Amino acid sequence: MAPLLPHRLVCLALLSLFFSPSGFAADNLDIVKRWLATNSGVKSLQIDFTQTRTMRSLKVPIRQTGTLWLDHSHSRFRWQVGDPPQTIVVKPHRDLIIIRTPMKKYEKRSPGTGDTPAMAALAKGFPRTLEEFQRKYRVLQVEPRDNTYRIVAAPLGADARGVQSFTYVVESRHFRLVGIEIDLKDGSSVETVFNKVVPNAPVPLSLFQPSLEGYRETTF
Amino acid sequence: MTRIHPIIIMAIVCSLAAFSLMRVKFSASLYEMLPEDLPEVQGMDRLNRYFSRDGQLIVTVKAEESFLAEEAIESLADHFRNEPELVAEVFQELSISELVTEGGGLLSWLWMNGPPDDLEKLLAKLRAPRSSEQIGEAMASIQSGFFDQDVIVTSYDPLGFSDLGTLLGDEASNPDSMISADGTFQVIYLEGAGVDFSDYREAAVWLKKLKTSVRAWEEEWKESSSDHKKVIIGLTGTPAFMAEVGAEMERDMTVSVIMTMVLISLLFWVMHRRTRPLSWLISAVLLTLVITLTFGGFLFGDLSIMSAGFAAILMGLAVDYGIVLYREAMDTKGDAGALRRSVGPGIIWAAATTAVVFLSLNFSSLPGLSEMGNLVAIGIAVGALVMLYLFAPVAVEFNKDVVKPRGLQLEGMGVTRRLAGVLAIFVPLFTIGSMFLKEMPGLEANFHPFRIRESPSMIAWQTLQHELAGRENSIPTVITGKSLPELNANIEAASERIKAALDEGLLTDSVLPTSFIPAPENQTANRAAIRAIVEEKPRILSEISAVGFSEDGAKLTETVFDSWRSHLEQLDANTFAKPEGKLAEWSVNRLFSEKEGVFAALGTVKPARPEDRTWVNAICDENTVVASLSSLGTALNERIKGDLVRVFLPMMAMLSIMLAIVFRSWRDLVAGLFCLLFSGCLIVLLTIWTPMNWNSFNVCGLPLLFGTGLDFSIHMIFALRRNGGNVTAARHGIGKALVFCGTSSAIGFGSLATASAHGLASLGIVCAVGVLVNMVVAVWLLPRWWVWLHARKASPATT
Repeated sequence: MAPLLPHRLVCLALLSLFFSPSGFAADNLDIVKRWLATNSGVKSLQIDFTQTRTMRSLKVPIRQTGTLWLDHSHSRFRWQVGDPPQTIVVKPHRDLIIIRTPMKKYEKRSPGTGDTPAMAALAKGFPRTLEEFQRKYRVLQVEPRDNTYRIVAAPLGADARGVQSFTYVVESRHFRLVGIEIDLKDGSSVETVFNKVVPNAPVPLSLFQPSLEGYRETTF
Repeated sequence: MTRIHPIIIMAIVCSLAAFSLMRVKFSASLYEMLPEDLPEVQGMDRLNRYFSRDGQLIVTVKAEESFLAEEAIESLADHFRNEPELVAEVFQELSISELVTEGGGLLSWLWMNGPPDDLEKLLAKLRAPRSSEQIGEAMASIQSGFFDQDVIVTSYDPLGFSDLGTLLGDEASNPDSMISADGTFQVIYLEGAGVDFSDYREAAVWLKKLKTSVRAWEEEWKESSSDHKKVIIGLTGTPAFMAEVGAEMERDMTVSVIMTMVLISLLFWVMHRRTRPLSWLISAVLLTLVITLTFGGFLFGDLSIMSAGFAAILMGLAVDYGIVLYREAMDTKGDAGALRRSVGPGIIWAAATTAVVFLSLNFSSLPGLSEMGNLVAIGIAVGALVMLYLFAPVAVEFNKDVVKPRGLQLEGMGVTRRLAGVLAIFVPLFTIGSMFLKEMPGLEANFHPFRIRESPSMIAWQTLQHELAGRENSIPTVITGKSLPELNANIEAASERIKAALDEGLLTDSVLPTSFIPAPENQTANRAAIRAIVEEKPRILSEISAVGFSEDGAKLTETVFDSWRSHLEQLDANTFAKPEGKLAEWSVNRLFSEKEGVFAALGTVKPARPEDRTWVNAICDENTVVASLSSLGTALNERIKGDLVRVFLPMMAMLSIMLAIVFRSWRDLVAGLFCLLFSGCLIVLLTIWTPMNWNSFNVCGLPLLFGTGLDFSIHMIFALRRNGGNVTAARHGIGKALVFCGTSSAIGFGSLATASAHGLASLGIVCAVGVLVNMVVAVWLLPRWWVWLHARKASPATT
């Protein structure tokens, strides 16, 4: 038995290295870095998504499809659901405009008023560097699941209010973002699955300046 | 007769003094010492009386990150919940689940209490068939909306009970949050248990136990996770302030008494190289303290923070008479009666003039100063009698065999007649010149005399005001009335004045809690409509469920209807219904109070220039007052300036008359008054050319300085008369006594420099410096001026 002992010891030592906390943390950040690297060089994005909201206050989850446009160069975004669009949210400059097309009403909001974490995350855009990511999030764990990595992070600062966690789902082959999940403290959650992602899609200014003719300004 | 050892006498008297000190009870109410007609003082008084919760402590947590602050506050709250002998209840910001269950009670009351027109708009949404349309629209907006705050709220409130619109009024823009905008600063409120919080001593004991509990939690917190970096815990609120103020006052009293005794003892030994007479002297001073405290307790009841300083002042002054007697006993080879005849008139007149000066503080605007002045006046009279009749025989006994003077001997210090003459002209001229060259020192603005220095609870309070949005520079405004209709009328009137002040730019913001004041007429008018709608509860809940909302989604609606039913029962039995539920009671009780037959409401205003009193005069009346420390400093300065004329001038007139009666010689009167003027010039020069400055509190020391300055002048002039103008003899006799008296009084005042209250500390410093100036002038300069005025031939010893 004695000759096996050194071998076992070596295996244990190697295993302990692999599973040491510092080893784990290094792996987590490595995956985060590889995901963030896919964002570099991307000036704009068009994402077709399916969003499922599971709310404690509703009996059944709400599922809707929509499209998201992100213009990183000018910090603009447009989010819309439904076909034809039922709700459009745009951020052409600093202010947010929420448009409810069936009601023919819209609301202008200044930054930071009535925001939720989801809105705040979109309004600021996805992090592009590890430094930016670590300023906004604390990584809780990175979990491999079904050809993806789920980067579970807790937001820091004001965005943390009411939010249990943000989960960025990246595919394990190319580390591209394929979905986001937000878990709220009241038990509700929002799962957004990206059906199609088009990097550097054309994002003309007119996309972020929908016509408000015939619409009435209100407060929702 | 058996001789009792002086140590035994001293031990007995010390025990009596300690017993008397222990029986003294301090009032920790700072505003009782301030002019009660000032709106700022009334504001602080009413805020404390109607809205302060003696046992409610505020615990603040500051962390680097919001998640740390959140974890820490949850852990701390759980920790306190497990200490039922210390904490009765913990209040913290509610989660959305708790808001849903607790919010219904508050919402239902606000609707019932609001105008009938507003309620009708809500009820229109609840009646069939509109209710099902409303619920359907809510679901549509949730399904198609962005995942924002509105959607989340609508999912729990499909009928829009929380859409209070104009019902909430100003309060909507100023939510009373317990969490800062970035989440790194959070607070919880603790309701203390197990003690009588109106007693500052019990509050102090309770607070000490709580601090021990907090330290234990901090240790556990650090060990529980490597992520758990240090968080900063602050404790503030009424129990913390009470405990701190009371404990500091007791400490001040103890420290000043002990320090004064020790330093005076040391000084006596340096000057006389004897200790046995010292023990008798200290016993006599302590006996004076005991008698005065006993009288004071009977006359004034609880003593104020100011009285913490009187003991030190009294000891410094009373010991002077003992020293004068002791010094004169060396020269008077006779019995106690002869000593009393020789030096008694000087002591009596000195005590009388000083007592008059302290009694003149009754004309001051500060009640606290009046109390201190009365106590010191009583003490001086008692001290003079104790020294003349109890210490005089001791002084004679100890000096009957003394041939050579022992201890420190005074020299002329180079002060010739010429130098005294030059200084008599130069110093007043230089003072006038300095007042033109440099700005005449005024009263320090924003000075708060009773603010405790290095107060942890005040620091925690200021941090809280700074961190939580909207609270910085917010001034609590208390509106009162003898009935609810009167209160509402007074709120209406205050609202008009505040609006005018906002239009003029005197204020930048205001919040009046109109929605949170019970409105019996509204509740009565709304009763029938609400009674009808509560019968619709089953139908409405069924509609909510049918559209797809869960039990959680219907919870708020259910709670509103149940609360309405409960409020109707209250209305059937009373004139108005009060809100029910933890959140409702918490929210309303912080803004509305009914106590001792008075109804009070609490709002806030934000002045554009807090220290300027124009806004105070614009919005305040007998029913509307503000608890504003910023403008209080300005108000006190204005009052003190008035006092300087109202108190000082009559006092100078009275003193002049008394001096004329005492001396019966115009030359002696001029010498005495010039001595005062010269000392005053030196003190003014010090405030112009050094960092020492005046404030609304230490300027009240001016009468004290003039009183003690007169003391020294009277003693010196009488000694010069006795010695036929022999300056050397006078200096070696009474001069040494005056050096001791001046230094001991300076020690007494100077010990206040360590006092916890700003005002008391600054008073101590100014008076200590002033007394030393008086002493130097009386011992080294006055004899030269006196001789010059009387133009007597000097003996060789005077050159």
